Amino acid sequence: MAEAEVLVQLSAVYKRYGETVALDGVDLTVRQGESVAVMGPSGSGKSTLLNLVAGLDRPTSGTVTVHGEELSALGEGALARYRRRRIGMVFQFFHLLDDLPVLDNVMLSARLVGTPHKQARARALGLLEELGIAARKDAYPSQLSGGERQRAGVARALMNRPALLLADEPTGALDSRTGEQVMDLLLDLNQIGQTLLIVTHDQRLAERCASRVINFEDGKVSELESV
Amino acid sequence: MGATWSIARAAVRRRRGQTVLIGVIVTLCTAALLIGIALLAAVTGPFDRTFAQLHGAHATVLYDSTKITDDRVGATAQADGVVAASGPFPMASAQLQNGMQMGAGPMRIAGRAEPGGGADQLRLTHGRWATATGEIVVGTHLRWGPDPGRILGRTYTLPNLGTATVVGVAYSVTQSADAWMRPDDVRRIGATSTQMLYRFAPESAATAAHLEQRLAAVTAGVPTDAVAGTGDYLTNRERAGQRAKTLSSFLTVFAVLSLIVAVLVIGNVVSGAVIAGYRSIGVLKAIGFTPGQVTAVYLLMMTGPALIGCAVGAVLGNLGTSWLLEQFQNNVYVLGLDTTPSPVLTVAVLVAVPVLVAVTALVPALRAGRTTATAALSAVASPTGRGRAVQRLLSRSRLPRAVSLGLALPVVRPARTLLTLLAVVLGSATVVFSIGLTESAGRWNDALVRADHVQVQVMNPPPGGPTEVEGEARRQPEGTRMTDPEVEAFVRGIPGARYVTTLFYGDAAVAGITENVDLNAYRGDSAQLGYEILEGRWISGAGEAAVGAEVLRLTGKSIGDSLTLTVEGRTVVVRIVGEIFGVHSEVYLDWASVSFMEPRMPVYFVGLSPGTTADRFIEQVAGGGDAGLIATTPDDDEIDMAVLLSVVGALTAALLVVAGLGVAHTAVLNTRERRRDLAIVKSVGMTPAQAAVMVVTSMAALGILGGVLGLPGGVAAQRQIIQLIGEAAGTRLPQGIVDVYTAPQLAVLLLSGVLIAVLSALLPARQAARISTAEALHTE
Repeated sequence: MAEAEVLVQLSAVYKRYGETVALDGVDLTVRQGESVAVMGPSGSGKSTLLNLVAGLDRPTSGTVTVHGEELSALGEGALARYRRRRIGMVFQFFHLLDDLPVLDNVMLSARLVGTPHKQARARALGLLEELGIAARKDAYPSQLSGGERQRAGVARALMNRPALLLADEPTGALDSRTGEQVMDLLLDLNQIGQTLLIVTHDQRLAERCASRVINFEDGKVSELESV
Repeated sequence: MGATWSIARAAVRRRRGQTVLIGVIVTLCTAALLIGIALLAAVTGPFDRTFAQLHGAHATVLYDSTKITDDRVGATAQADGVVAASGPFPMASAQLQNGMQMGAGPMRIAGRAEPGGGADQLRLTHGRWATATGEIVVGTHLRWGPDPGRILGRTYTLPNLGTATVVGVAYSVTQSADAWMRPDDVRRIGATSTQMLYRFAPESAATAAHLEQRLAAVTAGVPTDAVAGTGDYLTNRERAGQRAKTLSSFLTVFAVLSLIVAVLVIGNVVSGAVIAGYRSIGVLKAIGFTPGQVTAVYLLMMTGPALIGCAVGAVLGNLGTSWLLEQFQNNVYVLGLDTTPSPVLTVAVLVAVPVLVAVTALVPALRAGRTTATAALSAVASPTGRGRAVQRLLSRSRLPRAVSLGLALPVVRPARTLLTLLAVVLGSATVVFSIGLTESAGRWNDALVRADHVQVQVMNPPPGGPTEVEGEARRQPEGTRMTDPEVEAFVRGIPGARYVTTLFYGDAAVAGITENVDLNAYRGDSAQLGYEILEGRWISGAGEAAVGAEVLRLTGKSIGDSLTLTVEGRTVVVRIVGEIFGVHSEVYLDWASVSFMEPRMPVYFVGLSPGTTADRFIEQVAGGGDAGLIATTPDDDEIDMAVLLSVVGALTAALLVVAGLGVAHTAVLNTRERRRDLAIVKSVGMTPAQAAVMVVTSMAALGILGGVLGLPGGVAAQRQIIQLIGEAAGTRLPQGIVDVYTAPQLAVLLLSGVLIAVLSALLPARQAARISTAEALHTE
C-alpha cells in the first residue's frame, strides 16, 4: 500500500524566546489521515510546535511546510488565509467568542472564507447536530457546560473542512466523563480520514486517539512510538 | 466584511454597558462641543454679520425740519457714495408713560411706514408692524427681559397723541430709534427733526475719517444750520465687540475644555475596550482573521455607537444652542437674530467627532491588529509586576487591607490612570471655575443692586396708568395727588424707614462724549445708598460728582478734575470726587448741583430699620394714602448674567458627567481585569463591602490628586475670565469681585475631585461587591 501524502513537514526547526530554547532542531512529518499525539512535560515545547504548525508563530530557523506551503514565506494576511482554509484549532480553554451565540461562533470561520450565509448555516447546524449540541445553538458560551463548549470549539474547527485539525490539550479543562466524550469525537473524526495533531498531557487520550505518539523533552523529540 | 461586521455588531450588542457609555459620552461631548462652537461663532463678529444681513446704516443724519424740507432731505440719497438710503423719517422725542415710565428718559420715536428699506431694515422679533394710528413698535435694545413678547398690548400715554399700544418689538442693528410709529403719529406728537439713514460702499465707510468724508458729501449743499446731528455705526460696533468679548472669552474656555475632556475620555474608553477584549483578538486571529480585519472589528465597535451618539448629540446641541441664542437675543442686543446654529457647523461637528473617535480608536485598534495570536491567547487579564514597590509599601502600611489594595490599583495601568486623572483634573477645575464665576457674578450684581442698602423704592407716577402693577409692587388708590416734598415726608414718616434718598433722573451733555450721559441727582441720605467706590469718595454736597469708568475714559478726566455738564441748556461745573463701580456711563450728583432741573417722576429709595421687612413696608405705603404711589422692591437682577450662568451651568454639568463617566469606565475596566484577584481575596475572607471599598478607594486616590491639581487651574481661569468680562464692560473690578474664594471654600472645592471620582466609582464598586467567587474562579 502506498504511503499517504505528507501533510506537515518540519525540518530542523529552532525556536528561541530570548535565551530560552523552546524547540531545538525538530524534524517531524505528519501524513494525511494520521493522528499524531505530541506529549511531554510542561515547557518541553509542545505548544510552541503547535503554534508553528498553526502559523501563529514563526520559527527562529528551519522550515515548517503544511500542505505544500512553506509558512515562513507567508505574510500575516496569507497566514490568516492559511488558517482559515487549511487548519482547524481546538483549544484547552475553548476560546469561543463570548459575544456570539454558539451557531454564530461556529459559522464565523465559514463567513471568513466567503461561504454564503445559508450554506454556512446549514453546515454549522449539521455539525452541531452531529456533535449533539444542536439544541444549544442559540446559547452564549457562558451558558454552556465545559463539554458543550469544547464540542462547539470542535464544530468551529471543522467548519471549513480543514486538512489538519490541531488540538491543544482538548481534554485538559474537562472532567473525565466529558473528556471521554471528546476523545470519542476525535477518534471518530480520525476514522473518517481527518488528520489530527494533538498536544496533550493525557496518556489515555494519546493511547485512544493517536496512531503515533511523539514525546518531547527540552525542545527535542525524545521518542517516537506507534500505538 | 461579513465576518468583521458580525463580530463588531455582536460586540456592540452584547457589551451594552460599554456601548451605552461610548454613546452617552459622545452624545454629551458632541452637544457640548456644538453649543460651545456655535455660541462662539455667534459672538464672533456678530455685529458685522447682522449689519450686513439687515443692511445697517453706516451713517445717520438728523435734519432740523424747520430749516429744510423733506424733499430736500430725500434728495441727499442721490449724493456721491451713497449706495442705499432710508428716509426721510419724522423724529420726535417723548416720554412714554403708563404710571411707570418706559426707559430712563425721553425716547426717540421715528415715523416709519414699514420696517424695510434700503438702509437699516428692521426685523420684527415679536408682534407686528404699526399700521394704524396709536400703534407703536419698540426696540429690542431697550431690553425687555427674557420674554419681550409680554410688552405687546401694553398702552402708554404720549403727548398730543393720547394712547399708544405696543404692537411689536423690532431689532435695529443701527439703533436708529427707540420706537417707531406711523409718520403721521410722530408728526402729531411733535416732530422736530427729520432722520435720514445712509449706506455707503463698505470700503468707503471703514473708518471715522472715511465716514466724515462721506457725510460731507451727503450734506454738501444743505444749509449748514439744517444739520441737527450725525451719528455713525462705529460706536455701536465697538460696543458690540466689547459684549462679544465677554461671551467669547468664557465660551472659548468651555469649548476647549469640552474638546480636551472628550478626547481624553474617548481615548480612555476606546483603549480600555481594546485591552478588555485582548483574548478575543487572539481567538479572532487563530480562526483566520487578518490583522486588518481585527483592526476593522475594533474600529467598528467604537465608531458604531459613536455615530449614533454623535447624531443624538447634534440634535441636543442644536436644541440647546437655539434656546441659548434665543436667550442671548433677548438679553444681549448685539447678537445676530438667527437662533438656529449654522448647518455648516452641525455638519462639521457630525464629521469631526466620529473622525476624532476613529482616530482615537485607531491607535489601540492597530495595536490589536499587530498583536500576535499567541501573545493575546496566553496573556493574563491584567499586567503583573507593575508598581510592585508601591504595592509592597502599601501592604506594609497600617491602612486597612481593602484600602491599601485599592490604592495600589491605579499603579497597574499607568496610561489609563493618567488619562482618568486628567479627566478628573479638568472636571475639578471646571467645578472650581464655575462656582467662582457664579460667585463673582453674584457679587457684581449685589454691588449694583445694593440690596443691603436699599430695600424699597417708591414712585409717584402721573395720573392714569395701571391700577394693577407687576410682581411685588403695590399701588395706592388714586385720589389726592402729592407733591414731591409731601411724598418724601410721607415715606419718612412710615415706621421702619431708616433713611430716604430721592433720586431725580436726567441727562446731560458732556464735552468729549457724543451721546448724552445719564444723570442721577440725589437728595437726602445718598451716602447710605451703598455705591461701590473704586477710587476717591462719594459726593458730599453741591459741586461734586461721582462718575462711572466710561465717563473717565471717554473724557480723559481723573479724580480731582472738573467736569462741565450741560443740563437742560445750563452749564454746570462739578469736581469729580470718585469713580463708581458700574457698567454705565453715569454721573452722580447732589440734587443741590442741579436744583433747577425739572423733576421727572423722582424715585424714593428707602433703607429699612432692622426688623422691618420690605413686604411690610410696601403694604404700609400702599395702605397709607390715596395718592397713587407705587412701592416696590428694587430689581434684583441688574446684570445680564442670568443667561451666561445658565450656559456655564449646562456646560459644566455636561463636562462633569463626561468626566464622571470616564472615571466610572476606568473603575469598571479595573474591576473586570481584577475579577480573578477579587475572587481570590474574597475566597480568603474579604467581604463584599471591603471589595467595594477597594474599588472606591482606587478612584478616590485619583480624585484627591485631581482635586489638588484642578484647583489652581480653576481659580486662574475664574480670575482671567472675570477680568475679561470687566474689561468688556468697560470697568475696573473691585477686588471683592475678583477674589471670591475663601479658605474654607477652597478646602471644600479641593474635595470636588474626590466627589467626582467617588460618585462615579460607586456603581462599579457595587459590581465588584457582587462578583461571585466561584463563578469568577471557574471561568477565568
